[in-house]
Amino acid sequence: MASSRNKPTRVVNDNIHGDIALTNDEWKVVNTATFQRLRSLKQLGMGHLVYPNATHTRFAHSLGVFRIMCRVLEKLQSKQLNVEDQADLRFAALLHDIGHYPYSHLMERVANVTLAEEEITNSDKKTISGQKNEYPYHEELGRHILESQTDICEALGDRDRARKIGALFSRSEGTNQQLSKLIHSSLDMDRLDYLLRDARAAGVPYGEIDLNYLLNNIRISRKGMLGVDEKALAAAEHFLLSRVFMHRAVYYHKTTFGFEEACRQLLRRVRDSNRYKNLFAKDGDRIRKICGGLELRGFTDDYVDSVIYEAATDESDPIIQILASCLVARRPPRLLGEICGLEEKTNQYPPSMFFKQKCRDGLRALANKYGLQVEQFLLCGPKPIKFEERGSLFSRAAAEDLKPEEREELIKVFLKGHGEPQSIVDIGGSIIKSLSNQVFSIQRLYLVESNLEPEKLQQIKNEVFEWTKPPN
Amino acid sequence: MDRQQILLAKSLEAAKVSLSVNTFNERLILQKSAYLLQAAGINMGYRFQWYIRGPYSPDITAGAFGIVNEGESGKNELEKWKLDNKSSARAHSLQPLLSKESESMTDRARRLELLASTLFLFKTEQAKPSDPEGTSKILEKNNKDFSINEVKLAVKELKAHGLLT
Repeated sequence: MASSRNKPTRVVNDNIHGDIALTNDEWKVVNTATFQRLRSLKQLGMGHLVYPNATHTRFAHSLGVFRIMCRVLEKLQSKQLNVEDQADLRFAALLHDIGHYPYSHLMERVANVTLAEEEITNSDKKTISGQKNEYPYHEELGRHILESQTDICEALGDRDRARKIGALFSRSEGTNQQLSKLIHSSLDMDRLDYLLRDARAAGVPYGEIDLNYLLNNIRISRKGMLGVDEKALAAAEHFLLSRVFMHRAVYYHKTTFGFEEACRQLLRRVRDSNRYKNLFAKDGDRIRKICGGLELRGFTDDYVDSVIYEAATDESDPIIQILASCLVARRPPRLLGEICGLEEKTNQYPPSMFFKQKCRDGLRALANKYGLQVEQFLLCGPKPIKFEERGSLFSRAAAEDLKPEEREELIKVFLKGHGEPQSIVDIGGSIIKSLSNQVFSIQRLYLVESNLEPEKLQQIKNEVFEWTKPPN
Repeated sequence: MDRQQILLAKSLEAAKVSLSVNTFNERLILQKSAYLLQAAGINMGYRFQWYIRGPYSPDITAGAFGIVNEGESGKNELEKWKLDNKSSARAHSLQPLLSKESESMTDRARRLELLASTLFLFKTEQAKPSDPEGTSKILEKNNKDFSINEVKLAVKELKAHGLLT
């Protein structure tokens, strides 16, 4: 921060990090309509329906990630990074979520939603299409926003600078691998902030990571690899385990996940229906158009809320109406059965898969028996949760056999006497190494309904419970 | 297995690319083939970022390992699906680009790395197909050792398969 232009002059008070100091240039970016939109995007999607205080936003999170990046840069004092590189990294941290969708990942991945009628066992071969114009990922959208929104381009200086910052957080250019490593390492600033922020907002202890100890022990190797000193191994393991606990307790909480799945399925049905074409983006081109113009300002959680309210009055489609109504009236989808727990990665027939198959085979008959429609069932599960971002994809032996370029995102630790850090999955005695053959899996079956008698609901639950039992 | 994994598996199958992830070269071939298939118009919804070996998607590695780990039950699930005709034809047309007869695994990985990397540089406007020398320099800056002639050949191949105009 050599020049006076880059000296922090503005301070924002944050409940997680305390004072966050910004330069005039950074302050200009924050005070654009494009950045202010982040105030209207809840960080935790529909988490507030379970944890009432979890209404914090992408705006506060973006400032938090910015603050952590500043602390990392102060700590590293890297000679490999000049003043301009450091300024770029600060901007990239501040703007890394600028392309987020309303309700974050909920709307972004609507294309991956599978409806119950598509899941159930059928003798006909189903067609999967590679010709759909799907929604772009939020990182790509962020780059598009930076390059097309005049206010933020001007605040950053010009379009070239905006492009450079966008390329940095979306990793779309390979011109400076050193900077890329800093922003994309597994010990990334994004997770360090959101675990703490989400835990505090939800009022749970599971994300209370030891941020100060991790940041005080962060180092960069001669080859530019980021890692923590060996003495911070416990803090690094706690960080990785916290992430799993937070997924279990907050992000994939059965009620939150039920509401979010109902919303995802609603949006998927709305997107595929012609009646909502003026209210909800049908494809990626429409999303890009929204984000390239003034419509972006209204592309907030309200955008999805307005669809939900409209759908709740849609008498022409009972399934759309019932899904929307459960969200409007906070009537949680009923959890009929679930498989939830650690599974061996190499187990080809884990309990969650058996349960899913039983549901596929039995849902049609179950629906008929109780006078329900198959479409009222939500058969769903998040991607298995990993203890380590990359290591858990592989068996332990395979993880140990990774090439350096495949290890880039693994958390690294500087062991005594070694100039370059080692991946945490390689460290003997580490809890993460022991858990690297496991993933945390969840498979659930919900029912959205309006007024099913309690006795009938219990009967359905009893039948589904039988499906959760492993085969003999 | 989610829809994205099914689409990945069916697209690779149509292009006759093995879903094998045991060695680094196999994983590299899988990544670059998926990148080229998506660039050819089969929208699998993966986001590619620039890594040491060019365009790479962590989700593809995760998805491929997930499919392989499902073993027989995964195979049974995939049996229930077919790729749409247009995507299937496009994948088929790319087959000669993605594998050549009597080409070793190492050579194939290297060639696909070049094809995917140059196409990524062109698509992100970091290089121009009309400037193989400049493209080669950018690749060199990213620790890749490809000659100007190799870049020229890559541009020719990409054009021949409709990936560049």
